Amino acid sequence: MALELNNVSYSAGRFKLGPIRAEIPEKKITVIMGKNGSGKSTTIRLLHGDLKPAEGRITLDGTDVWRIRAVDLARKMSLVTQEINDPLSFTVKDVMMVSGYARDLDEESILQALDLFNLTPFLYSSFNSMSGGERRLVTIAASIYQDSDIIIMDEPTNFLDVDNQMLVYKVLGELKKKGKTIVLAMHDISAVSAISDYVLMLKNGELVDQGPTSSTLTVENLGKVFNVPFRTYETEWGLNFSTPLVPENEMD
Amino acid sequence: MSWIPMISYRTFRTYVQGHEGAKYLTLLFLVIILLFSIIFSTFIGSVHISFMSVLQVYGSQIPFLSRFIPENFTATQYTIIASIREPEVLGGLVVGASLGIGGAVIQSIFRNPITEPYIIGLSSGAALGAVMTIILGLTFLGLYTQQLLAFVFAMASVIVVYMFALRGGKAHPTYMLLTGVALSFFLSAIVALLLFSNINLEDEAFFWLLGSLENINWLELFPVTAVVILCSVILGTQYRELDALQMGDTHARSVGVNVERTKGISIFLVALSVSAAVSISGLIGFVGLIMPHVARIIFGGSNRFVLPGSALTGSIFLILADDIARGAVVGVVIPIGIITGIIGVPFFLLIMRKMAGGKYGT
Repeated sequence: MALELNNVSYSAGRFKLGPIRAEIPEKKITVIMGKNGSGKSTTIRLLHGDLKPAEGRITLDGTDVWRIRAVDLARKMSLVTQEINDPLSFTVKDVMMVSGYARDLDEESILQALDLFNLTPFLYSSFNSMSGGERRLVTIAASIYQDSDIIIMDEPTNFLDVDNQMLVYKVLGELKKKGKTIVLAMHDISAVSAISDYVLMLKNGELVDQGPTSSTLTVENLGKVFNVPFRTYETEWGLNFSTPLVPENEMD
Repeated sequence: MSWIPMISYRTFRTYVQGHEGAKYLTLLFLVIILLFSIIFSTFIGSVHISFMSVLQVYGSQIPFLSRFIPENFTATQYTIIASIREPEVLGGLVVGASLGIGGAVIQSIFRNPITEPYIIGLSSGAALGAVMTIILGLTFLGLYTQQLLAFVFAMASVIVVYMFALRGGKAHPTYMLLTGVALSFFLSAIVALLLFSNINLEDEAFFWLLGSLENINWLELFPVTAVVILCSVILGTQYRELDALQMGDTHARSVGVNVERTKGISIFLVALSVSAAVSISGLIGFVGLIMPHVARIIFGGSNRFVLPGSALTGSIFLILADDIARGAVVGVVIPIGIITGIIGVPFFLLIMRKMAGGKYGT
């Protein structure tokens, strides 16, 4: 399942992305980082074939992603989008069943996926009356039930409380151990440092740097991407990243 | 003590939601209610015909079974039932089912609970076709010029709306809704202009616009039934795709649904089925908007049960509303569109308030 970006560029109005040349490492966690509007979501939509690149190719095992039939792609790649719709009167189970479109129905696997997030008691609960965080967890569980080799998630920990964020990171780690390739767009830099193996850093649609997290997620690169100074400090739980809370020139 | 039936309803709903078998039983129950409504509605009318005779006329029309059924009815009674009442009642069945399924499909595609088949230009197109025929006295397509033109104009309106909304091979729901609403206003204005400039023909056109099952005959009912059944069966096989579309286009694609094909096929089939239905019934409102919600309140949101549920509740509702249209005032048939609004809307508001719970969000 080799997912590769070969000199990919895309433009919509004044926004330009790329050219990006990258290879998503298999069976690892890759994070796409950057400010709002830097092209993270566009890159994710390109990776998933929802958008067609203006130039270059995005290939999965050598085939252009956007050319792959939706039902075949769904068996290889699943996606957790940022926005969640209000399906009319759906239960949690209905939402899970939708993600089983390309595979055989397996009630046992639905329950297993929900159990990862302690959601089994909500199987017949109304999806629309859940909180934003719970709904997010259900859609993550649904993408796991889809059982594809590659899982792409756009900001999976948005709206989540700290304990649920930790739960998601733990599950992502387990998925990696099971051999899944994971691609995330994420904001929390300390979390990126803790869970990811590879990072792509975007700024204004350009790829600033890419590489293994340990050598690429540096104070210098972060400063370039976010235009603010960063410091790191060691804690017993790993490396932490922090920034001044107000711009330095306004500090006295 | 209004909470007592509510507790039992909640228990029922929780049970039905968790048990496939209970959902099938509920569907069967609706089928039985539908059969009763059909027989009851054929029974009532200005000429009294005994209940047994009604059953016997129906029985005599069923192949093989007819041999075992005594025929204690006169030729006149047979004609009244078979040529006047049956097409009206079965017309209600077909039109109600078409509007119900159409509403469920359109609401899934647009992910919007206040949409219905009429919103994509269907009703205003059909209205223009029918009113034009009446006012200009068109007969070039024979006896059924009005129905055929209503059908053709309704289909044409939907196709115009769909083509307008296409951007880069994708028909975005918001563009379709906006185009549909705009085109509806435009066509309605032309209809109003036609009515305004031909005051003497206003009555006939006015009645068509309010909808009626009264004048449906077998010759028009047969082809419409065939079209509605065909479209409904194909739409019924699309329930998983329609469920996925409710989660959003990107999500639907990511789980493996060919989004644009599903939308294109479904909208075409709804347009075909509902255009055929309204061409013989006129514009009956409310059914397409509300019956899918009644079905969702009973069965939950998955289209696997919402589609057949909307068809059944749509048929039952329209057949019973027609009874009221015929029977409320002696000697006068009130246009059924008025009944569906006056009786149906308060009924729906009540059940939505009492039973929908937090299904549409809290």
